[in-house]
Amino acid sequence: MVFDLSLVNRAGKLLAAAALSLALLACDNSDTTAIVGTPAAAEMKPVSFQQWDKQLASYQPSVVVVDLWAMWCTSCIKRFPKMVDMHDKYSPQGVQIVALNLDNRDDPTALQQAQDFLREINATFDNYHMDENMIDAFEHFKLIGIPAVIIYDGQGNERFRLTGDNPSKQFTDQDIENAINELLAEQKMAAR
Amino acid sequence: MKNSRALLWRWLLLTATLWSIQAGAGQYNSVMNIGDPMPDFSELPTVSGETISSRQIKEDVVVLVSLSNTCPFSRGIEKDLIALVDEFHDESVKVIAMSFNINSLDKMPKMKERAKESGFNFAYLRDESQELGRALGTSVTPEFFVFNKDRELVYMGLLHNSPAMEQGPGKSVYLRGEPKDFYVENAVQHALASTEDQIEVRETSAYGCTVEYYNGL
Repeated sequence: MVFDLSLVNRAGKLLAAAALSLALLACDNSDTTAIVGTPAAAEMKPVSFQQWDKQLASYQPSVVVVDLWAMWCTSCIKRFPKMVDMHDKYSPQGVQIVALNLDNRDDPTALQQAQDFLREINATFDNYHMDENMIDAFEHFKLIGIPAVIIYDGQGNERFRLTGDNPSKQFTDQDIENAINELLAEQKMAAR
Repeated sequence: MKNSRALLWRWLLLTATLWSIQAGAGQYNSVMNIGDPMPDFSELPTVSGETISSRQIKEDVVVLVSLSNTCPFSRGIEKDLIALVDEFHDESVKVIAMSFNINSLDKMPKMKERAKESGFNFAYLRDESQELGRALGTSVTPEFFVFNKDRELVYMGLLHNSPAMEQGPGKSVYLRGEPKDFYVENAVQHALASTEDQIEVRETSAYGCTVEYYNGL
């Protein structure tokens, strides 16, 4: 297997371990996610391009942050726990953090690993799997590589596209937060 | 007044620099464009223990390709890359694979292991500074660059039209069926024949694993 667990962000693993410890202390119920009182990691729902467009539209008028990732993408795995943190931080402000998995739909092992990973890091936001040919998906989203984060405003317009395409301008987690804050500020201004 | 002029010159210089960077970008590559010169590189270490410099290359055509030991897209095309090198074995073609990732599994000790395991028949260099990677605008692995006799870029992007992915040890799956458009092969053939104007496809989007640069992702 190509995926190297050592590359997973240590903070994310610690978070999962801490949650598990709390759960075991709290109760001997085997359903750990229920024990700690947090929602279970969302099951990845397969979506076609058409279904995805509908789903994305359904999030309006929220700001939507879409994280495109896959188990074969080591940098995706490394930074994914940050999306969990951002969900905790921004969902109370009405921001939708959504993950769209781009693993090969014809590789059930990879899909199972992806679901297991989401459970491990307690990713309770909406999770989808793109049920299309992987290269078609790359073309559809105009991607060269992942990780990539696409951020939509409350009207469903794509406002930020954060990628690693330019070696001198690869995105950082701070770029994501800056984009979210900018769109939230716009929403507040519009509401006045 | 002097301050205003200095500011104006600085602004003009910055604008010109930004314009030149923008003008250099390809359709998918953020730095290189077709016709651009091959970036110089000097004494980069290879898995054979030797170093390699761009000015030492005597062959007519140079193929540079970014690889990663940990990327299934990269591992997925290794056999096809080895076959490509074999195909042009008797021609004046130099194929050089490059490793840029900050991942420890992509550094020299693991590169040597991978080259041996997979039977690499081409040079495999490590660019620890990532300067070559940045100069090429390499954003993913694998990404191919073909340079002609004048060391001008004549093709960049995919090896062929069907990116492959490793699924299990030694098992690769073509994601768009059997390849039928061999972009690099076509570009090398025309570069050898000095008929670059007949290259069928000049640039493709090199789908793959994003290269992790220092101060990046």
